[in-house]
Amino acid sequence: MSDDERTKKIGEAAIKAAKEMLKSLPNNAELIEGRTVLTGKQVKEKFETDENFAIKTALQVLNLKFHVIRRNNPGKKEKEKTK
Amino acid sequence: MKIIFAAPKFDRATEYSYEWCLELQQYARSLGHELVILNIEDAVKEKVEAALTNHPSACFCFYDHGNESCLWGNDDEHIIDLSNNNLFKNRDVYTMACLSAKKLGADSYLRYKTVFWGSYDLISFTTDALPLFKKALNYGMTLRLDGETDWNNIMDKTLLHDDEVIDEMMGQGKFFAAALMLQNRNARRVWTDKTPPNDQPSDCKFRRLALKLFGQRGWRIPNPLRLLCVSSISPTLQC
Repeated sequence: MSDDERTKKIGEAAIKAAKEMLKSLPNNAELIEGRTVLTGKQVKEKFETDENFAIKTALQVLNLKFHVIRRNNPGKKEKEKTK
Repeated sequence: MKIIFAAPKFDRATEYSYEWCLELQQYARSLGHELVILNIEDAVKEKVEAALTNHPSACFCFYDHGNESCLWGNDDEHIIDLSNNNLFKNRDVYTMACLSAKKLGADSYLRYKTVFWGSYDLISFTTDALPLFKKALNYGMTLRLDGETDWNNIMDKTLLHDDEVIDEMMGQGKFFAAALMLQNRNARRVWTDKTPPNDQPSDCKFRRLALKLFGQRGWRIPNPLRLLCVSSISPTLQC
């Protein structure tokens, strides 16, 4: 697999995960970020049209996933440090 | 304990944060704390400055908008920025204002020994999980009102509580809310002698010389040119 293909596949996986996460936000709910207010529907539309927003959302999914993994394996980080 | 609460209400975000702050005020009152309340139209610069001047040892609790170097009042003007944060001298400040732990929080700690609780990033929340966001964002101040005095202990307990809130959100299938809650958690900071800000460069020659000669104590040596720097060159300059 070429580097481009690999990057594309990883990107697609991240986008798919982020879309799944966004499904949990009801269309009529609001996202309030600082002074910005978006409805759930607008958030989903923004995800489709704004690359930076899509990247940010994908990173949020990964961060959440890592956080959960880290919490479920609390000893691992310490073990790595002592290696 | 004496607490000054300031809570503007002028946009969608502050409609919520105002309610959350009211809840803290009611809780503080029920515990017998002495309160100075500056809500909505009273949450403006002159009244905040007067309250801080008249109550030099009171804790200051502010909900909501801010940026790296200021807190915004009800009239959308700065109520506190780097030109008057000397009013935070030797006091505890608790705020959910976005980005406030950056220059404003760091400067207040370094120069005025303020214990500063704030955020290093934007604060985000969604209305499908409002009670849980409120619970998490109010938690640190609630512990302080309950009598916990060590802000680092409060931070440790709050981070654990945040994890519980994230679990609860995920348990309810609110994954986007949980991701935002994690972002808020990771951005939370408290500047104390145990956890001081350590990445604050200064553009000011006077300050750099003072830091070189006196280490971190150099932040607390008054700079006679500071007013000039802040007002005429850059409001975010660490001078």
